[in-house]
Parts: sequence; structure tokens; C-alpha cells
Amino acid sequence: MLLSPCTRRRTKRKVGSVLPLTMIIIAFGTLMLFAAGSQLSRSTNHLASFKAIAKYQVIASNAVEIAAYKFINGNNLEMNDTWSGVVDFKAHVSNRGGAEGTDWAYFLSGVNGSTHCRVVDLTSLTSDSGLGGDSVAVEAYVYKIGSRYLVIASAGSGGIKRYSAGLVAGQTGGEAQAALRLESLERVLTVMNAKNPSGNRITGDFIFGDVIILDEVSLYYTDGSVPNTIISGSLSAGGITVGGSLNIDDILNGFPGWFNELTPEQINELSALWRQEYDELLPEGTEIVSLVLNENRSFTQEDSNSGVLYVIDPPSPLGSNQKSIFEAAFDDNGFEITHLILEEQSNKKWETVDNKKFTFPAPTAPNTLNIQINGNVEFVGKQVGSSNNTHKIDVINGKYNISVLGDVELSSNMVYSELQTHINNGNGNSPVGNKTKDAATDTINGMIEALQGSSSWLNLAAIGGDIRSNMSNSSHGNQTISASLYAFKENGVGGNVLFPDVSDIPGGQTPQFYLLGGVTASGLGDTTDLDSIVIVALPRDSSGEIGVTTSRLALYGMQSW
Amino acid sequence: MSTQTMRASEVSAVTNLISGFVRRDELLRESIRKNQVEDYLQGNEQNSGLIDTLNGHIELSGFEESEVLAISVEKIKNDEELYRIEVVIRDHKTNREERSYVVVSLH
Repeated sequence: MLLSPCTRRRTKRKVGSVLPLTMIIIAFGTLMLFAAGSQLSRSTNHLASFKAIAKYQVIASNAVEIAAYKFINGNNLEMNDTWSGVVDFKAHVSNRGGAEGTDWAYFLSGVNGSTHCRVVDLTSLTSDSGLGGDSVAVEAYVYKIGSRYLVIASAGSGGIKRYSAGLVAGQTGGEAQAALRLESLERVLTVMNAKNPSGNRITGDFIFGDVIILDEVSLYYTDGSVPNTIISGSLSAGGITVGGSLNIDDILNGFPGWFNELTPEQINELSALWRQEYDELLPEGTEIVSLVLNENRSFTQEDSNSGVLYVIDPPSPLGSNQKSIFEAAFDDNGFEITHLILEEQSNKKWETVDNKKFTFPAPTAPNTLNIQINGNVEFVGKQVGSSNNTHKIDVINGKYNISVLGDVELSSNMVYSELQTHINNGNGNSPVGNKTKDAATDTINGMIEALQGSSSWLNLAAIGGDIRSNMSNSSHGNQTISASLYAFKENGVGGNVLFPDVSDIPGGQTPQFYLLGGVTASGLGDTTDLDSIVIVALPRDSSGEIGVTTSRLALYGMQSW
Repeated sequence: MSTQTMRASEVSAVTNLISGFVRRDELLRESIRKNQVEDYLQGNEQNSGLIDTLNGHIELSGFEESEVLAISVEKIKNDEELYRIEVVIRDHKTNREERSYVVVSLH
């Protein structure tokens, strides 16, 4: 069929529009494919990152669990490292909406890139599938915030990072008295160091626990030290002077919560509260039994367990050329107190002309033997550690609450029965005394462990008198005491724990006072001749048994982001 | 794709649920201490095992398509009380298995 010219022209026009139309369709199709592909890729990436985030959160939480375990069991609470990444962590957790972000921002407000922390080495475990099997970068750090520790871990790779944090604190169920509570302290506390390579000439101080000083306290640090190199717990004081390698700004900014400045109200009230706390050790309404030590008498087990307060007076009156003193001693079987009357002889020497003794069996748990002695008392030690009679030991077995209205003289080592092998007994067996700080710290943890559940405890107080350490040269100037010591001033008399002149001692060692328990007193007097003081706070539970509050840390709660 | 995304998020949710439970399970730690892990995981005549307990939690949480197939406990290092707990979770809809590793310590 022949087409008319007009028809041909119209066909030509139709043929001419196919190409653009096809192009448009192809372009649209390409665009749609691109959009779908892009969406597909986006979904795939989302899916991958969603799975990765969940995986990294679990790995970070595993890292917190491992780091907390290693930190708790490492027996080293020192914070000597810094982590610049903590700034990113803070931003990550603080930017959460609502109260959670605000709370974390507040909790971490004292932490920054220069705050000291502890790096936990996880390298030996990163190949484990629990930490991602070497394909994931994992880090863990521990910060001390107040009296607790925050373990932070991060896990990630390929630009995705997730965090987890866990809180480590002392287990509940116990309460730790501060290691040292004084109205004032003249001594400048310094870092513990060994004067010679063999490590038996020790200088410096170590307080394992919290310290409260109502006045200004002075500390001197050497290079590489951090605040808890001297005081492992927190320090609360009326003021602080810091010398050596640290200054006050380093401490306030780098170790938030370690130092707390006491308010004037606290300074006014605290010493009265310490006295009140001590008085309350004796239950209200405790029956009082008055005794005069003018005969030899062996008390029964029932007497020791009765919970009464035995108030022991010296016989009176004494002659004008006589004086008297009480001598006390502990051993595994119990406690004995002897009253001696001494008479001045024509040659001006004093001779014992009379002595009488009370003997109490060791109280059985959970009972406490309460004794008040009205007069000065010397603790002389019953057990002799070595043949030359220089290392006298009082072995404390059971709970005792002994208050002395007068002076207390400590002329022996006093030790809870579980720890006899730890003290200087004159047979070369002294894993604690005159050891370097690292060795001492390891041993402290071992001692606390050995005392878990122990029913031995001694509260020893001098009221209106002083407690005098009578460490002798013949024991190389080392004295180890297991007790909570209290010295309270009455009518302006007493209230101090005092140390003798022990500067020149044989045996190539340095004088050290090692206390397992704690001190509450007005002051420590002149301690110039004492090269080293180590005081370890022992936690105890509500029944008075030695517990685990501060020594045994545990991981509480964990959160991941 | 959206189905796959949904499945992946459901499996992740189940994994988180199970990991969190295992991490906080003091009875599991106690069974490790007492060397009675198998009894605790599989159960006995008196008590249902941990695997059944977890599957009950999954079902109650509305994730019927997922199931805990197996749990194994292994000490990570001889000298440390650190244990890796491997949980195998199957998504029946996609027939895939996910493994989650939770590390717990015995203090």
C-alpha cells in the first residue's frame, strides 16, 4: 500500500521520538537501579555494623570481667599510667540522653586525659574468642574514683568502637576503721625505700587504709610516686603540704577523691566521735565486776565468756618507799595480769616484794573479755621467740577489749595467733618487718587472707595516759603489734602513741613500727628516731570478726554502650 | 533484605538477652566452682537445666524462632579463674547459627 506524503511525514515523526524516549527510560532505569543498589548497600552496611556493635559490646564486657579479675588479684592498687582515650569514653557515655548521660558526666567529672589510672595488660588473652580472637582491638583501664574503682574497656575495629565499664568496690558486710586517726601529726610521711640493695634498711612510711588527720599533714614524694604510694586509701585532713615529685595540683587534678579537706565542723566534732565510738565498743548496760588484785586467782572459762566488765584495782595503800605496776601478757591459753609491789632498797635499787596474778582463759567466739585496769600497765610478752629472750611475743587468741586508766607500755610483739609466723621472732622469720614496700604489700594481703574469719581481736586503750612503744635494740628495733590502739587525753593528760630513741640499733636494720589494726590518738609525739612506720587497717564485720571490706574487692555491675 | 535485617536484629537481641543472663548467673559460677557444670547446663530429675531455662526466656520474650542449642564452659588459662562460656544460638527461620562468647571470673 502506498502511503500518502502526509502519512509518511507523521511516521517519520513517530520514529524520531523513540530514541529520546528510550534514553529517558534507560536513564530512569539506571537511576532506579542505582538507588536500589545504594539502599541495598546501606542496608548491608547497617546490618554489618549492627552485628559488629553487638559483638563489640559483648567483647568489651568480657574485657571488663577479665581486667577486674586481674586488677583484684594483682595485689597492686597503684595508678601510675594515663589514658588519653578516656576523653572519648567520657564524651561517648555523657552524650547519652536523659539522666543516664548526666549521671555519668557527673561521676566522671574529675577524670581527664592526665588522670592517673592503671593499664590492665590483656595481651596474653586477646587471641581468645572471648576477646575477639585477635581481630578486635581491646583495651582496659582502671581508675580510682573516691573509694571505688572504675574498670573501663573498649573493643572495636574498622572505625567502630564500643565501651563497657564495671564498678569494683570492697565487698559489703564489713567495716574498716581508718588505719590512722590523729588530731595532729608532726611527722612528714615519706615514700618507703630501702637504704641498701638487700632491702633490710628501710625508711619511709606506708599506711594501708584510710587516714584522718584533723590538722595539716605533710607528705613527701620521690620520683615515680603517686599519692597512694604512701597512703593506700584516702586522706582526710585539715590541710595538706606536699613536697618532692608531686604538688597539690597534681593530686587534686590527677587523683580525684584521694584527698578530702575536712570542714571546721568536722575538725571540731571528729575526736569526740572517736571517743564515743570507742565507748560504744562496750555494750550498753554491761555488768561491772570490781576486783582488787591482792590474791592469785584463776578465772573459769565461764567467767571469760560472761561478757561482764572486770574493773581491776591495785591493792592499797602502798608504803612510802613502795611503788606498784601491773604487768600483762597474752598467750594461746588466754590473758594474765600481775600486780607487782616494788620497794626501794637501801642501795636505791627497787626490788619486787610482792606479786599477785589473775589468769583468764581465752574467751571463745563470739564472746569478748572486757577488762579495765586502773593503773599503768606493761605488756611484757609471755612467749619467747628465740633462746636469747629478746623477741618476746604476746599471742592473742580470742577477742579482748582492754582499757587502761593510765599509761600502756608495749614491751613485746603482739600478734594474732594465726600470724605468729609473720613476725620477727628472733629466728630469722620476719616476712613483714623491715621489708621493702612491695614485699610488705604482698605480705599484707597474705596476712589479711590468713585472718579471714579469725575470732581474735584486741582493742587496747590508754585513757588519760599514753601508749609507749618499748621496742628494744635487741630485736633490731622492729616491733609488730596486732591491735586497734586508742589513746585518749583526760584532763589534759595522755592521748599519744609514743616511740623511744631507737636510732642506734645493731643488726644492720632500721627501727620500724608495724601495726596491724589502726591507731586513734591525739598524736604520735616525736618520731624522729623511727625510720619507718607501717600501719595496716584490718576490716571487721558487725560481729567483730575480721572481715573483708576493703581488702577484698569485687566487681559490681557492668554497663556497655 | 528487610527480612534479613529483621532476622539479624532478632538474633542480636536474643544473643544480648542470653549473654546478659549468663554473665549474671551466680548459680552457673557456683556450679563451675563445684565442678558440676554439666548437671547445671543439662539439668537433672529435680531441676531443669540452664539450656531449657534460657529457651523458656527466649520464648517468653517473643523470639520463638530462636533457640539455644548448646552451651559449653572452658577455662581460659590454667592459672587464672577465668572461664569462657560459648553459647550456640540457632535462628530457625534462616537456619543459621550464632555463637556468643561470655567470659566470667570466679573471685
